Amino acid sequence: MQNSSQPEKPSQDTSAQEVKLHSSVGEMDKFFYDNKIVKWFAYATIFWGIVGMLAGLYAALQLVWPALSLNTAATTFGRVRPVHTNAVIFAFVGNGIFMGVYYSLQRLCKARMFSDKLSKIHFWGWQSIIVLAAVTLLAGYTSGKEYAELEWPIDILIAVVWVTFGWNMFGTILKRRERHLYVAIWFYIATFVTVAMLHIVNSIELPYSTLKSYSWYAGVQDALVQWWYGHNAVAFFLTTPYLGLMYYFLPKAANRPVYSYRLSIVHFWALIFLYIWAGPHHLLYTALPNWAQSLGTVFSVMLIAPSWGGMINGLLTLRGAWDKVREDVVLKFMVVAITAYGMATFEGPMLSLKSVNAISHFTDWTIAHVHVGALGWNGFLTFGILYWLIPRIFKTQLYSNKLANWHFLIGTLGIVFYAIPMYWAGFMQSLAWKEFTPEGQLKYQFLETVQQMKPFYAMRSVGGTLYLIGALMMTYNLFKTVRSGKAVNDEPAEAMPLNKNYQIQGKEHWHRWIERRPVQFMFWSLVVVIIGGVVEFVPTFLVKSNIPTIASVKPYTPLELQGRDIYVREGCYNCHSQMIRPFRSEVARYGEYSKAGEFVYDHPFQWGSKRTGPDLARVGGKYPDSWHFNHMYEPNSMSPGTVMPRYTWLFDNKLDTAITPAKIRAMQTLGVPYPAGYDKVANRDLMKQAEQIQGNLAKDKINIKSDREIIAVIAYLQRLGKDIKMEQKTASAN
Amino acid sequence: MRTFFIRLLSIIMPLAVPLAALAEEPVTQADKSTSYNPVLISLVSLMIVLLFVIGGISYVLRQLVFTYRDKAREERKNNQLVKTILLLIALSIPSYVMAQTAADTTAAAPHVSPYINGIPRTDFYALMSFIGFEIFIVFALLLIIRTMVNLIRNKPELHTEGKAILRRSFFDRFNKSVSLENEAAVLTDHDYDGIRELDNDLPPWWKYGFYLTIIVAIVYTWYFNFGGGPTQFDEYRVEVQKGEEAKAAYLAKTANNVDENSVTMVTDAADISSAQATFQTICSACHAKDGGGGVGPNLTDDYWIHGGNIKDVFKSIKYGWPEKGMKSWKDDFSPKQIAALASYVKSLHGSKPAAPKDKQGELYVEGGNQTADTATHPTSAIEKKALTKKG
Repeated sequence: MQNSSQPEKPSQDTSAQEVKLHSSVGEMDKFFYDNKIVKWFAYATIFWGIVGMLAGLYAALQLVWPALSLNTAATTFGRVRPVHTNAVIFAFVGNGIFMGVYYSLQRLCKARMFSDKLSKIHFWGWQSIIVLAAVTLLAGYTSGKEYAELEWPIDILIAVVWVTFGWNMFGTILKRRERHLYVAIWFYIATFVTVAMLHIVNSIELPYSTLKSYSWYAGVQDALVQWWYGHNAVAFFLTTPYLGLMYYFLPKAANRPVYSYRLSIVHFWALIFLYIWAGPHHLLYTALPNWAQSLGTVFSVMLIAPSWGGMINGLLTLRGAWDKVREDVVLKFMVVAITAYGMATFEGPMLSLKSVNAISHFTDWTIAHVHVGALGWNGFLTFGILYWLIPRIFKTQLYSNKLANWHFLIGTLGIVFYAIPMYWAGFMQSLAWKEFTPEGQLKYQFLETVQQMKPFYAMRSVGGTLYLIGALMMTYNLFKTVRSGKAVNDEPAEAMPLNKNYQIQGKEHWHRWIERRPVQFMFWSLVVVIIGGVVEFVPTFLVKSNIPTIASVKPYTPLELQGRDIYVREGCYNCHSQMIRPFRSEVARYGEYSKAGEFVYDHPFQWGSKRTGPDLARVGGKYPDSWHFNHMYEPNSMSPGTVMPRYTWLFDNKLDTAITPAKIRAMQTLGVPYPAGYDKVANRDLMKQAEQIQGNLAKDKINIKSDREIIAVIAYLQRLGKDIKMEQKTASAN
Repeated sequence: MRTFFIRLLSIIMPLAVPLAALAEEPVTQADKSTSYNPVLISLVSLMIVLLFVIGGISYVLRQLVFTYRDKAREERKNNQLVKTILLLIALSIPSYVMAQTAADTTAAAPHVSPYINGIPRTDFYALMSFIGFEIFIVFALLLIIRTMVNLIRNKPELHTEGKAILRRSFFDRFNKSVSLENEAAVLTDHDYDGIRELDNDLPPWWKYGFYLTIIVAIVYTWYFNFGGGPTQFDEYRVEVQKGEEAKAAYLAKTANNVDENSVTMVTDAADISSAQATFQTICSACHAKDGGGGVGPNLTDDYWIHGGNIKDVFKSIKYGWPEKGMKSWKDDFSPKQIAALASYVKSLHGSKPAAPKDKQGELYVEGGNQTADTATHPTSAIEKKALTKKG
């Protein structure tokens, strides 16, 4: 035996070190798997899962009782909802990914993680990102782009930590003792490169202060980039890594061979190639050019089979093990997860068909759809893995199988009670929005449809509560399990090192070639995922005709710009869209349908994805200033029965005018045509406009100082959609 | 496997090229009047799907024929061979006829005045008969396959294999999986941390489903970008037109088409009480529940900014005064509802609101001719019948 100073050594608390046994026959490497990092990520998964679900429940309850916003900025729906989505996606599922990858990668590579130090940096880096995210989001620092709300310093930190993870993963892969990469690792590699690409491209923004920035892209282009990102965050953060985990933990738990190797190959490459293109299906019937919308639809349709390939390979792996499924709670969770995955990935393409999307979009149908995926696929697979993993790391038995079975039951009920009311609500509300009386009038005021939603929102909260109770039961169960065992932080293992000279034995499948070459594998997966984005972006950015300019569309005044930033800060886009689709019902309700050229100065775009409240694209001039004033102060006074929270702090906060010049300069850099040197005089115009609004309010017996934030918000709301109306006026005058 | 993948890519990749070119051309097809016809589209897609099915079945049959022919040759049973050749000839007939019919369909004249479901009569019949013919072929082919399978199964040397195939469960056959007992035959030498991999074939329904979605994608892309398929704006124009026609037809039948010139005081109690409900939920936001005013003016006093005549009030509600903050309500309420609302508003005159807003606008004194109008208005009975809902 001889000591070596390999990086591959367990943490300091054990004296064991990497040893190589030199014998005459062969050299068996002895080493240790790092379970400690897996354990930490598992704890983080559970903790953030509970936090994320609580945030979701709190946001859901606010739609039933708006008073729960506590009349405080940080606890209002518009800020809590991004905390919920970010916590669930990046904290709960993110840590779940890392837990599963750190466990399985080491074993599939027959090697300890490349560097314990990198593992630690990765772990603590990711947790600090989550904490920073929660704090900044609640404080109102948001980029205003869904699922990418975090501001530029955190974006940079995410990129750094993500690269740390990739480095650590690749280091491990490169020093592996297994010649070929297993399908799970293919998915991990694709996840790593694609998420890096998505995050970097979508987060290109221009900072104008220490914590705030404007999106580099505007309007239609911003929308396209954002939903390319948003859709593929679902694909490459919620789907591909979890498929990788499924490919490891399902055959392990079922003790069955994977069903079909060639299916893995086909569905893997097809999935990552096709997924990237499908982003525009989030923008059907919007101002996005027709050809891009078609691409979104057809690539979604083609995605059915590759997505189902994963489901088939999972479910058919259980052939001959279905008797086990009846008994083993781990497998039960996994089967429901895979089934939910199959349902969600079938529903997704259906929702991408124009005729279905015309009904489902902007409603709670979408919310139901994503929760089948999140609660079913991600949640249940995570629970299954945790129930399998924790007893193994702690060399013990699960504390209570009965409790885990109850968790399974309550969790499943939770999903059902969540999804059904939301499907129902979405379908009903959409039909109500579209319904005309025989006289040709809209049958329902928007507010009436909101009130019809309340019972469904209440039922949904019940479903969410059940699911949360299940998660808490699991937490207790795993806590007791941990207490009953002792962690094996460094698990001994041994394997033959790889021979440098590899000889192919017999006939092998052509795909084996790339499975031996991780770097090429990464390169080719990057190539495959780049194609879709390039084909969609390049014409949209370079070809003028895709976004016809409208002469009457002018940049926002300084006060409106400030108001817009407050609109973004308060997360208004979480409930209000700014995109009127070319439907008779929407034009009748909101006005002329939206045009691509109207959004050219919108950094970021604010089209929204859900109409809990009405569309605001043309709210400008619809009501007097005093209406908005009263409505923002006490929404119920102007819209009785509304679920909109109060925004009283806007009436106390003074508008930060010191930042105006920096904002103007940033916008100029982004190409917004303010005159040169306008930043120096912008505040003069701002004051003038503010005093005008103050004057309007005074006429209606409302007295407020002109330096309050509410004045800027009113200015912005009154501007929305005005430019087009101006054009129509001049056109009809001619 | 490899060929499948390459074939797949070769189908998808050409899609990308025309699309880039497409982007350069602005959407100028907007004026095309091709209206979207769901019946036609579903019929055509059904036709394509069936063609696809026939293709698949023919392929299977071809394989069967080859297997059978090889076996037959081995046994030198010439009479059997003749049978096979006959079968092959029989097979080629439907596809020949099929091509003929396809040509006919495309050549069919589009202009015959009577339409069926919006499709020219000849086209419709051609399509239907083609689909009927396709269904016939499918059944015929299935029958032939059954006969073939029976023929092959009667062969002694194929007997055991055939039995093995039969023993597989429906589900295994459906997925083309190797049965659990014979799993070793498809077990690869892969072993990752104890995880083994089988190499079952791709489930046929999955594979052909995948091909089908690719074909759908190509057809869809072509149709909506080059083939004259309706853009979202075409769809919008059609929807609005249909809506307007329905509305005009309805209004023509009822006496609902009051406007600011013909409006008179509404006296019907049900209409007024529903107007009152509307006022107290919607108008009250600006004018207060009792009409005393707030954001908007006091409606109970003698002073009116835009005139206090029933026609003026009707006009104010219908078109609004957007620059002063009164929005137009014509898209929210029917003319009759607006008439009732205006009448309700006028009925508030002289009431004593809790917190009246100061007077605004001109003094207005009610003229004498309004009541006379109402009394002679002939439509109140029909109005009563028509207006029942809308809370």
